[in-house]
This record gives sequence, C-alpha cells and structure tokens, in this order.
Amino acid sequence: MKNIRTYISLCLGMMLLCVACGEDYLKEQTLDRFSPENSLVNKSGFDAYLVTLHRFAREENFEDRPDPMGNGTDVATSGVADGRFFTDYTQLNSQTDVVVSYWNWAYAKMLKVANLVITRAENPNVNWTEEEKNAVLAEAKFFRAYTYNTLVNLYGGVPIIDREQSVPRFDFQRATRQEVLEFAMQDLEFAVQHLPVVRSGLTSDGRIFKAAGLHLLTEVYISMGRVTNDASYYDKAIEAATKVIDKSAGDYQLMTQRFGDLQRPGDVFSDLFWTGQQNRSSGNLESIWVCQYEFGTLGGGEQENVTVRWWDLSLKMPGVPITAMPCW
Amino acid sequence: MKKHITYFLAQSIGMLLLGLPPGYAFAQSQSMALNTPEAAAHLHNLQQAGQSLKRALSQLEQKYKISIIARDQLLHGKTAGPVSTYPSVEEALTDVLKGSKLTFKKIKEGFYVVRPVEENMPGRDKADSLSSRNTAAPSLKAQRIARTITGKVIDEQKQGIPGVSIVLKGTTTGTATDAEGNYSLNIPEENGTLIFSYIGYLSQEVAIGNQNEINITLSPDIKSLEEVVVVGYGTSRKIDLTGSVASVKMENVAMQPNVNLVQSLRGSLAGVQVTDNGRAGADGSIVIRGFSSISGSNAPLIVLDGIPYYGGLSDINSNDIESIDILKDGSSAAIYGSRASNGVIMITTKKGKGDRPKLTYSAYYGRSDFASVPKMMGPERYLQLKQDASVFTGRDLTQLNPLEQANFDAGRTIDVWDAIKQEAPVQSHELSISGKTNRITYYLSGSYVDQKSPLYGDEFSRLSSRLNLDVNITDWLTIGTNTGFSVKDYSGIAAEYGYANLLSPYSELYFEDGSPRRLPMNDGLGVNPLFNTLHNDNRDVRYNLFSNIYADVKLPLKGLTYRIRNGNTLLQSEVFNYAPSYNKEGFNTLGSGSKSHSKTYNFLLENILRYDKEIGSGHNMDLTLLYGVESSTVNGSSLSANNIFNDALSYNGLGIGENQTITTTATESKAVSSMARLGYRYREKYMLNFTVRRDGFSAFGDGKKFGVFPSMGASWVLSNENLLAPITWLDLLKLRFSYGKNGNRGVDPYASLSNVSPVYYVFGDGGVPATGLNPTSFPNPLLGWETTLSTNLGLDFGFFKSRINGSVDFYTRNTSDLLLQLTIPNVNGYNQFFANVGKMNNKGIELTLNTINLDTKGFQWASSVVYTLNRNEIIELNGKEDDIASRRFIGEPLFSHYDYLYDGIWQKGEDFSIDPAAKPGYLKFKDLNGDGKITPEDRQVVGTSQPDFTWGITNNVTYKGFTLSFLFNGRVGGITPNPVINPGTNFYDRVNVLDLPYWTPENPLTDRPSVGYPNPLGYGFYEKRDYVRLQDVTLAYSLPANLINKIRLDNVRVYVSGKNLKTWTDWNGYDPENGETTIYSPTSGPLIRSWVLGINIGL
Repeated sequence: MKNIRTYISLCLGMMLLCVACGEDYLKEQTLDRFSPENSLVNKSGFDAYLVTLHRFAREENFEDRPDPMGNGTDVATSGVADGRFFTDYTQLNSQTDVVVSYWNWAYAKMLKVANLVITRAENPNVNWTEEEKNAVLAEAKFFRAYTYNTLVNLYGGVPIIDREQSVPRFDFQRATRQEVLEFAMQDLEFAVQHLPVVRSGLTSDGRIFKAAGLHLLTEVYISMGRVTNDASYYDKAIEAATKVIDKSAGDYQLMTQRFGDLQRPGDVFSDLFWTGQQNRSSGNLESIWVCQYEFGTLGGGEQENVTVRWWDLSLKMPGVPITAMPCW
Repeated sequence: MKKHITYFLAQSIGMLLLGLPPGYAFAQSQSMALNTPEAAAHLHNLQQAGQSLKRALSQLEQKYKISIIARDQLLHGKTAGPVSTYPSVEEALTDVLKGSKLTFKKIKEGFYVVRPVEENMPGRDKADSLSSRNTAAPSLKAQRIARTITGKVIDEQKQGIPGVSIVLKGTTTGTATDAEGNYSLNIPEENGTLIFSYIGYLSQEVAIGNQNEINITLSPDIKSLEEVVVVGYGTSRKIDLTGSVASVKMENVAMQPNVNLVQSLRGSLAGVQVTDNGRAGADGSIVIRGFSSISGSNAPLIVLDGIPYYGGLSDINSNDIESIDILKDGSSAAIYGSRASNGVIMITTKKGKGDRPKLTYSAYYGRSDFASVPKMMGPERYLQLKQDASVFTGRDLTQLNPLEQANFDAGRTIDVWDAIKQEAPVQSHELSISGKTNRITYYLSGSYVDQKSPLYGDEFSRLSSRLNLDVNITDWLTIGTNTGFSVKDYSGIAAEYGYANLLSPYSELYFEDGSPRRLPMNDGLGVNPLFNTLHNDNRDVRYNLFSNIYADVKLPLKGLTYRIRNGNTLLQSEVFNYAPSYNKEGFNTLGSGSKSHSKTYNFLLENILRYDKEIGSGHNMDLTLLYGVESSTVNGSSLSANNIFNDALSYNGLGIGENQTITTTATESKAVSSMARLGYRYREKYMLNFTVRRDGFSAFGDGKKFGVFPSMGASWVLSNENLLAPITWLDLLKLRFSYGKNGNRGVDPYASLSNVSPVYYVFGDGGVPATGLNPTSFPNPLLGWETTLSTNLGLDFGFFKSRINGSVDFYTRNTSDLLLQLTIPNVNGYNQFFANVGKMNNKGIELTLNTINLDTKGFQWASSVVYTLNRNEIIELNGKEDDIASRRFIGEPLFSHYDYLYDGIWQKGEDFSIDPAAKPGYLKFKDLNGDGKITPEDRQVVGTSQPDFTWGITNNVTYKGFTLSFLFNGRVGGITPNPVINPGTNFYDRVNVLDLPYWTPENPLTDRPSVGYPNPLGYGFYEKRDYVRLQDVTLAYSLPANLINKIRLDNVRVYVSGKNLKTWTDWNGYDPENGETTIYSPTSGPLIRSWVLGINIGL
C-alpha cells in the first residue's frame, strides 16, 4: 500500500511540476530580428532607420513600372499602344497601378519609417545628446516633408499622419491642400535649423544637408503662396533659395568648367551626369541631393536604376535589340 | 489463411473459423446459424426438443455480445437449463455449463472458449480422432512417411493449449494438440513448414529442418479480433468510436509506386483532398473537410507514433507504416485541441509480430513520363499566328529574331517540352526485420528510393532507416522507442518548365559546343528552361532524425497506467547554390553563390495518466489525463557572395568573392498543453466521450496565449439493441454524433510582434553598404486562436455479412476569429494587419461504401466508393463588406472569382454600342446592370476554384493468387482562371502560345477570341477543372506456397503497377487536380505517369 502511494504521488508530482511553468514559459523573445523597441535606443539605432528612408526615397523611381511619370506624355510614349502599358491619363482611377504605387510608396514606406523615428525620438530613455536627437529629427522631418510635398502635388489634400500608428485605423480623412503644405513647411522649418552644412567626404555623399532642406522649403513656400494667396510666402521662398545661392548654406555653385574625365567627349552639362561624377567628392558642386547607385554592390540598387537599365546602352548587350532586354 | 479484419465481432469470428480444421464448429450466434437451411432446420428441431446447451450458449452470445467457441463434439447431446439474467458473463457461463463437465476460458474481453473439465478430458482419443484424416491420407502413400514430429504448444502463461491446429504448409497433412497441448505428426521426408494456428492467437510458421521436436509458444492476437484505430493518446476499437475517422489500410496501397506517403491517401478517402504537384519527392498538400482558414494554415496536424510531426511526409518510408488514421471531426481531433481544426493525421509505424523473426525485402523498378504536357503552337502555326496577329492589330508583322530566323532558314525546329525531358527511372529497395520474443518487440528497416522525374534535372533520392523497439522490463514497466532517420537529396535544378510554354519552335537551346544558351530566341522573355539546370550547381539535402522514447508504468492500482514520453525531432537542411561566370550573348557576369544551413529542433515531453475501470456489469469507463510541454527552435545561417572570379570551387569558394553577406535566422516557439478525456461505454451499445484541452502557444499576443477546447461525442450501436439484433441481414447500424471546438495556431513565431528587416543603401561612390532597418509588420498584441466549432453526424452500416458496409457523415464546421491578413488602409503605414477577424463555414457530406460485388469459387470482386461534397462559405469579414481586392465575398466560397460575365465573341456587323472599344474578335461581356455600357459594375462572382464534389472508386479483383486493383477518381465543378488560354495577351508577338484555335476574320469562332486580343478588362479566362482519372492500376501475383516453400521462402509476390495513367479533362493547363496556371515560375506542373515492376519477398 505504501508503494502505491509513492508511485502515484511521484507521478502526480511530476505533472504538477510541469504545471508550474506557465505564462513565463510562453513569453516571446525575438531571437533573430530587431524590433523598434530594441533598436531605437541610441543614435546608431536611429541612424539605421534613416538609412532606410534614403533607400525608400530612391525606390520612388522604381515604384512600379518606369512609365508612370513619363510614358504617355510629351517625354515618351510606348511603341506598343494597345493597353499593355499605361499611357492614357484619361483612364486614371483609384485602381490604376501608378496611382496605387505612389500612394503606397508614400504611406507604407516613407511616412511609416519617418513617423516611427519622430515618434520614438520622444522616448526619454534613448541614450543620446540633444544635438544628436535634433540631427536625427531634422533628417526624418526632411523626408516626411519631401513625401507630403510629393503627395500634395500628385493627389491634392491627403490624410496627414504625424505619428507612428499603434492600432489600425479606418477613419482617415483628407486634410486640405493647405494643411498638408503647412505641415510640410513646419517640418522643413525645423529641419533647416538642424540639418548640417554640406561637407565633402565619402560618408556624406548622398546625405541630406541644409541646402536640400532650403531647396525643398522654397518649393513648399511657393506652393503655400499659391494656395493662400499670401505673397509673404514668396518672400520666404526667395529668402530660403538665396541661402543656397549665396553659399551661406554651403559651397554650391553652377559648374562652368568641364570636370571629371576630360577625355570624354561632351560639355560641362554632360559631365554632371556621368556615373562617378554626380557626387560632391568628384568635384561636382552643383548637385544638392544625389540619389546613390552603386553597380554590383549590395544595396547599390542597380536593379532600381530604371534610367540606366532602359536607356543607357552602356549596360546593354552589344548587337541585341532593346526588346531583347530582360524586363523588370 | 489470411485473416480478414472486419468491422465487427461476429463477422470476424466467422471468418477466423474458416481457418480451423474440420470437426470444429462453434456455438453460432443466431444470425449466423440461420444462414443455411440445414442450420435453421437443426435449430428448429432443438427448439422442439427443449433447450440444448448449444442453444443456451447462443443465447448468451446474443445477450452479452460475446463470442463463445466450442467444439461440436463437446456440445453434442448436452442440455442446459433456461438462461436467466446474471451479474456477469462469467457467472452466466458457469451456470449454463454446470453439470455438462465442461468449463470455459476467457481469451480476452468478449471471447470465451468452452473446453472439457481437465480430469474428465478424453485427451488422447480426441487428438487421435482429429488426426484421423491425417492417417487416412498418408496410408495411400505410406512409403513417403519418413518421420514423426512431436512437441508441445503452450501459451504465454506456459499452459498447454488444446486443439491447436498444426498443418504442414501447402498440404492437407495436419493434426491438433491434445488437452495438455501435446501433438505428434507424421510428415514426409522433405523439409517443410508447420503452421500452428488457434483462434484468438497469432498463427506461427516454423521451418522443420532437422528438428524432431518443435515446441511453440503462441501469443494472443489482440488486434486481429477487431479493427482498432489510433485516436490520439491511445487506440480505440472501431466499434467504440464516436467521431469520424478515416483509415488507410497500408496493405492495399503497398504495391503502388508511391515515393511519398501522401500519394497513398490520394483519391481514396472521403473528405480528404490530396493534391500532387508532380515534382520528384515533393510533399503534396492535404486539406481535410475544406478550407477553414484564410491566412492561417490549412494543413492538418500530423502525429507520428503519438508525437506531433514537423518533418515532411516524404521523409517517411511508406513500407514502415502500419496504419494511417485521419481524425476528421471536431471531437476526435479535439484531443489535439490547439492544432486540430484542420484535422489530424495519425501515422503509426510497424511493430514486430510473431515469434519467428520475419525478413521482408520489397523492391520496385520502373519508368515514368509526363502524364500530359501542354500542346504549344508548332512551327507553321507559330508563323501563322504572327501573320494573323499583324492583320488583327494592324501593326507590322513581328519579325523573327535573328536566331529564330537562322533556324527558320536552316529548317530547324524544336519541340520544347521534348527538349526538357529526361529518362526517368524510379527504383525503391526496402529490407526489414521484425519479430517478437518474450519481452522484446522489434522492427528494423532500411530503405532507398531513387526517382528521376521526366523533367530534366528534377531528381530525388531518399535513404531511410527505422528502429521500433519495445522492451518489457518487468510486468509493470515497458520502455520503448520509435526512431527514424532519413536523408533526402533534392540536389540539382529542375528545368524551368514555365518557359517551355513561351519558347518559339525556332529556338535554339544550345551553342554548337553543346553549352546552353541563355536566351534561345534572342528575347528576354524567352529564357532557356535548361540554362540554370545545366549551368548552375545546386546541392539540397535534408536530414531528419525523429526519435521518440517512452516508458509505460503499470501502477499498482488495477487499470491505472502512467506514460512518460519524450519526442525529439531534428531537421537539418543544406542548400548550396552556385552560378558560375558567364560571358556569352553579351552577358558578362562573374560567379555568385550561397551556402545556407538550417537546423530545426523540436522537443516534446508528455505525461499521460490513464485509468480504465469496469464499473458494474457492462459499464466501462476510462480517463486520460495529459500534461505536456513543447518547444521548437529554428536556427539558420546563410552566406553569399558575388563577383567570384574563379569558378573552380563552386559554392565552396565564396571566400574569394565580393559583397559577402551573412544572414542569420533564429526563431523559437513554445507550447504547453493539458488535457482530460473521459470515456464511457455500455456493452457496445452506448459510448460517450468528453474531452477538454487547454493549450498555450507563445506566438500569440500577451493575454491571448491560452485557449480552451472542449468537445463531446456519443454513439449508439442500434444493431446491438434487442429489437434489431435478430435481423439477420443487418450486421451493423451505428449512429455517431460529435460536437467540439478546435483551435488553429497556424501562425509563425513573432507573428504578433512588429518585425524589423534589414535593408541596404550605399553612400558615396565605391562606398560600402550601410544597413538600414525597416519595420515590416504591424504588431497585434491581441492576436489569438482561430477556433472552429464542428458538428458531425455519422452513420455506420453493414449488411449481409459485410458484403455491403460503409458510412455516411454530415458535418458543419464554423470557424470564427479567422486568422486573417486583413487588408487595411495603407495610410496606417502597412497594407496588412494580422488579426482575428471574420467567420467561415464549411459543411459537407462524406460517403464511403465498400461492397463485395462477386464472391464465388476463389473469385472475388470488391469495390470501395468514396464521395466528398464540401460547401465553403465566407460568413463574415472585417465589417460586412466584401473584400474585392482579395477576392473575398460574404456568402461566397473562398477562392471565388469576380469578373465580367462572358457572353461570346464580338462578330462583324454587331452593335458595339455597349463596348465601343471592342472590335470583332474581342470577348463580349454581359451588361449586367443594363446601363448600356460595360463598366466595373458589371462584374460579379462567376465561380470558385473549389469543386462541387470529388469521388473515387477502388476496385479489387482477386482470383487464385492474382489481385487486380484499379482506382478511378475525379472531381466535378469548379473553375479556375487559366491565363495561358488567352491567345496572346501576354506578348503574343514575342513568345509562343498554347495551340488552341483562335478567331480570325476568315474563321470567326464564337468561343475563342482573336490572337492579339489585348484583354483590356483583364478578364480571367476561366476553365472547368472537372476530370476523371485512372490513377492507380496494380496487378499482383502471389506465388503458390508449395512452390516457394521449396526455395525456403515464406511468401513471394510480384506485381506491376501504374500511376496517373489516363486523365479525361477539358482543362488546358498542366493538370486539373493542382490547377496550376502560373506562367513564369509555376510550383506545380504536369503529373508524372509511371509504370513499375515490383517484388515482395518474405522469409
């Protein structure tokens, strides 16, 4: 009889032992991926999200097909005008690929990341200096304004999302065109205060400097002037643009002398666009913000470089007609 | 005599008795006795004369639903008093046999043997009389009787067993044991095999050799007495089931060339839809009772030897499988609550049987080909198509590309599907040893399968081994293991057959030196399907170690057992790729490659306590309690590099490349489970089952991790009621009802969290990649279980001694809190949100009908029909609105198609006002809303890809040693968009299209549009997926025993078997079953038709 009790209590004991693990046992820890919580903790974490914004900004040029902004206009048109390529702007509706893809680019890429950075920068536990924080916020706000400026010019008044969303919402309302422009303007006015003045060097090529902010702000001021009929915005636009022109926001100038590979036939204007001659480090002082492509390098984006893939014959196979290129 | 296993007791006893020597009869149940006129007359006489003992025993059989076995001589002339009511069967028997000098022995639950009381037993006489036929026959050829074999037959308790039949295999020479179990038998000089058989015990065969004394221990055959199904944490007799369980008898499919276990389930089970994708060694997909989830998993849970199994079914050697039981309804599956909503497939591997070690060798070899391939435009039609397209579109004739032109000039054409074909042998070898000694049961096997599919480069081989071992250490402790190991090799790159549908017949796949061209028709759309196959290196090997160890402890309280079980699965894979440098055709790339390793480890620990108790007469209950924990860890890493300047080391030379990247993956998920099941049975008439399971899973949001899943089941065996019992033609009538709630946790780890992925960007000319982070999913801390409430009503029936039997099931499955990738406004920052939203319903009918159509003089024709009808309906999505973008509509099935309504082809001279952009040769659509225009509002749900119903018929014809079986199956209903039948939306001016007729002004078809039809509205081009298929045909022949005994073998069977032999369908895609329509990189393709020649040898 004693044996029986030992047996049973042993077994039940084992079962109960396991009951003891419970909620804690099921607590989930991500092992192989970052989360906003564990990555947005210091300057370098925030910088990683800024890299993503640069990447997404480049993807604007490759959002769907290369046709959206040119094909069917006086820039170019498809040789196959039978409906396989979008060319007819009278047919635009909310399901048209072009319409969907720019909207998606803006909200599901640019604004998602920019708002995440801006919202999480409020976290008092982030380990950074006030200066570092403002530099991060300035770049994020530049991209947010850049996106809203694109949106407002393509779609008119659009919903303004100013924060990271914690739960899905279904009640978005269009803001007015003016409200969107004002929002972009405020972002840029903050950005131009904190964006750095341009400097040369490997890691700064492609970055956003004060002049880029001022340039975009100029555009937004002009739009504001037109929307509000308030002429003072034009004065502000002139003021902002002047800072770029008079070099108070960095050493920019129109290139007047040939530079780069002088063996190449051409003129100074063509010099501005050769691969390897677009960044400041190559001596090009005319460019304010350069989208970066690097052939054959991870993140170099040659697949996204639509211009090169479609029209630059240097990458083409010699002797093969253009129709034989792999498409997208 | 092969023992046939049937649904119910009386029948199985009847069949078993056919194996007894003449001179034996038994107290037949009334229903049996009345089957012959003689017996009926005899019974009538007995009734006139008074109560005979035989009659009394027969009444007891009826009353207690037991089987009583007795020799006729013992009962002859004996009488008994009237049968009254007794507290137990034993007391009843004691009373009835009282005064007859007979006693009884209980073999097992429900089975009793009547035998003489020891001291009065006229043992020797009986044995002599029984062997009289032995002495009579040999007397004619007495000179051949060379020696006498003697011995004793005992049971596991070392008691002699009287009446055991001993027959010299392949002859009529035989005898039986006496009261002490002794026997003596004269045999000819030649060696032979003795067969020892006795009802309720496993038969044994012993080679005589030089022995003159052969002693045998017979072990009771528990399982052969009634069909047993595996139900999760235990087994159940089929008669006791309350739910809906489909079982596969592996012996029926053992001779099909099924490289994958999944194939043996295909087409032959009601409610189970298996889809074969036609690739070598691929795991097909299984859906049970319709789709219940939209974004979660629809795959059933697979339980291998009691342990949830995460490897592929292609890891398992089909020959190692004893049985497959599929738990379809809510209550049977509820035992695996959290993952059971898609049904559970219980796979049980073989265990050793019989005292004598048994060695089996099975092998087959065969050839295969595509079952069918799409027919593409041949050279003339291809050129004509370009002409016709030019006329239709009014544009210049598309010229042949330079390479095409060169081939045209030279008169060279190719058939692309022919060009991507290879010799496709398939072979399999399997060797197993199994057996059982006093305390050890063992099964050991090794197998090798090698398959080449007809698709160039599509190859598969598997090496597998298994050890199943049980060691009975003491009478209260058994320790055992089921361990299997497999290595699957998928190395090589299959030809990209999607491109075979695009290439011009004037393509040139190879350069003159034999190396493959990348662009065989000078067009970027028409890539050489063989380029990667021939040019690149690939190694893809997967290792699977599955080991499950358990200990069964009989606790000192009768009926109480404890089992602790530890399951371990280790899955490893190596996927290596290398693309060497290529500098032809204007391409100039250096080598690039990758090496990926992944390891998955699953751990499971379960404690199971089980208590069986008989409470009073006829009342039985059992209680099962479970507590278990589980974890799954995945670790992987991948290395890649490009610009590798030297190809000599292939993927092992990544170190010299540029852009070296490292990717690491690691996930972990955990689960805890507790479960209680209470069962109650009353005399095989009423059965009740209650189960409740509580499961916790780590991937769900905080606070949503646990779910509780209750269920109940009840069944009522009407045919065992006194009212119906006398109906002789009625063998079984049983009603089953079950109701239960199951969960689906088919989400990936971290699904409820915000996941962040790396992205890269390069700052500055010649810069290094900068790493960015991008959040890719919206977190949902409220993500929880998807639950399905299932109701099942079933009826099992058997008529005319099981000549007709089967079952019908009606079910409904209501799924709520659907795991749904909800499309949300992307203004939120994400396009999708993984949430528990919406409801879906499945309801259906399943029918299984087994009949023995003919059974005369060694010729038998049996057939089995299955019919499955499932209706799927989305009840609710987010809110009440249809989700048109995802093609989900309230009140319509999943996979519905929303499109314009096809209304023929526009012809010359018709009124084009509703579609002014159309011209003759365009598709005409119906103006549904009658506004005089074709607008997006004229779209509606035009159909679904899901079938109306599916069916299968298996036929088995046996004659002497021959068995012919063939399986037809098919589906009716369902349409799927098949874009390849549109004659040329997709670049008809650049690539080839399917060889189907098309509209031309000269030949204005009314059902096909013109080539060059631009399909401005994006119409889906739907085709019916109805088909009838002759899926499996097997002809087998078992060599006669006297022939194979001469070569000292036990049994030899040869067979020829074919798979996917013929399909009748109007579908123009690869195959109507998988319905694949993707053009550029399809995952399913044409099925494989194979013929194999096989042999099974038993020693």
